[in-house]
Amino acid sequence: MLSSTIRGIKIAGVASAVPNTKVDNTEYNNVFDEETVRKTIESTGVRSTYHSVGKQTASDLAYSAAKDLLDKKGVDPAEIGILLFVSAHHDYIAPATAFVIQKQLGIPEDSMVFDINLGCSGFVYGLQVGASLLKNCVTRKALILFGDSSSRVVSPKDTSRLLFGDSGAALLLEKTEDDSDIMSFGLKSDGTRFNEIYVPAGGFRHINGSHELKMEEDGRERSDYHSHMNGTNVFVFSVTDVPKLVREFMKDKGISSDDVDMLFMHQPNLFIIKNLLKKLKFPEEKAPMTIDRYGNTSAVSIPITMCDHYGENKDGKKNMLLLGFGVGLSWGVADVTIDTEDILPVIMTDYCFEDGLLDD
Amino acid sequence: MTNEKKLELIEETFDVEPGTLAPETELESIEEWGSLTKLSLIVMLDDECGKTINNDIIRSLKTVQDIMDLMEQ
Repeated sequence: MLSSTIRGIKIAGVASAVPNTKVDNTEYNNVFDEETVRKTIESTGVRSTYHSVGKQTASDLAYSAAKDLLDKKGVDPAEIGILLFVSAHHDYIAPATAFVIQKQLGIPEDSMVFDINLGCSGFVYGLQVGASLLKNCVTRKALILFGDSSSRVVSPKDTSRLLFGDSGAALLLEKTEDDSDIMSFGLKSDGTRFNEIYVPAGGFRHINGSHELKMEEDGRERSDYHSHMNGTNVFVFSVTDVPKLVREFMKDKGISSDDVDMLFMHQPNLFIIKNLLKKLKFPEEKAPMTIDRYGNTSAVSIPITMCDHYGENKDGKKNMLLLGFGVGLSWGVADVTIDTEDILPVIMTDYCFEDGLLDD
Repeated sequence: MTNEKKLELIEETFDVEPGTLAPETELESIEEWGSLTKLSLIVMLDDECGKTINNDIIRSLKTVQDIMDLMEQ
């Protein structure tokens, strides 16, 4: 475990956004057979997700969450010195999507702007990188954005389609120079398992991949541009490696589940969530879930669950464990304190940036 | 772990009545041997035997005895 502790930085705001279009999973009864749909809903716990339509991307949703956060917190974009976009779903091969968002938000040139390519572990990593950079730069605020367009990379003939939703989130970090503001992290990465979750084509390794749907070993049809996942091995990772990290982290910090007010964890599917909670000995009432209404929203799972839980119901300052895990493979846990007044309700948007570049 | 205890744990994992399974029972003949049961088996082997298995091992399993053998190692 790579440990780190960062003092004098606080989480000053969290916001999340989903597209306007809600997809009820029973709508898939005419794509897959009804029994398969019923069983998938039952085992994954996902009843509905939100899907982008037209050209709306992960960055449009992340931008919308950021705009909502800056407006409601009364923060001038000129105060932001660091802008990161954490996502596996970028707008272009180049430049980094964060620049496209910088233009829209009006963040000044005297800033550091780049992307981090991570999925379901991304919230914990984005927070760590953002807070580390803020600690060492001459600026007072950082904006870390997260976005996911999974509905675009899952094959229409793959029942995983029922699982993934599109979303965006924004996190505002502020320098306080108060040493009682502490964040702790435990991070792990395993590149030997890089191909447990992957999209083979679309980058430079397989630049001429096939768009044709092919029947694969697991009985699902996909093209080279669709997401591939070894479900069994990723499940094993989620219920063995992930709880092991949490136990190591909590032992290292000398804390037990009694010391933690809330656990906000990535929402992969209900079966994994329940198994993980059992293994971690965390009661369900301390671990809010949104998998039923938003599906698996990758890096946005953690902030969207916070916004869903505290957006309308404030409850003072809370000590929280944040737990993300997924593509990489990458997994991380964080111990933070957030004032629930700073957590905004989830918004819905059909916002889409018009770049005017291609007539497609 | 005794064979009786192993069978009991396997039956619990498969969510079938006690006494339903025997070592020679072929997994494909068990209605409950679906993807969720396979995942529950992974959790049981980790919890009860401290054993982590992967997709290849799951695919190689043919009978209840194969699972019992895994619990032994």
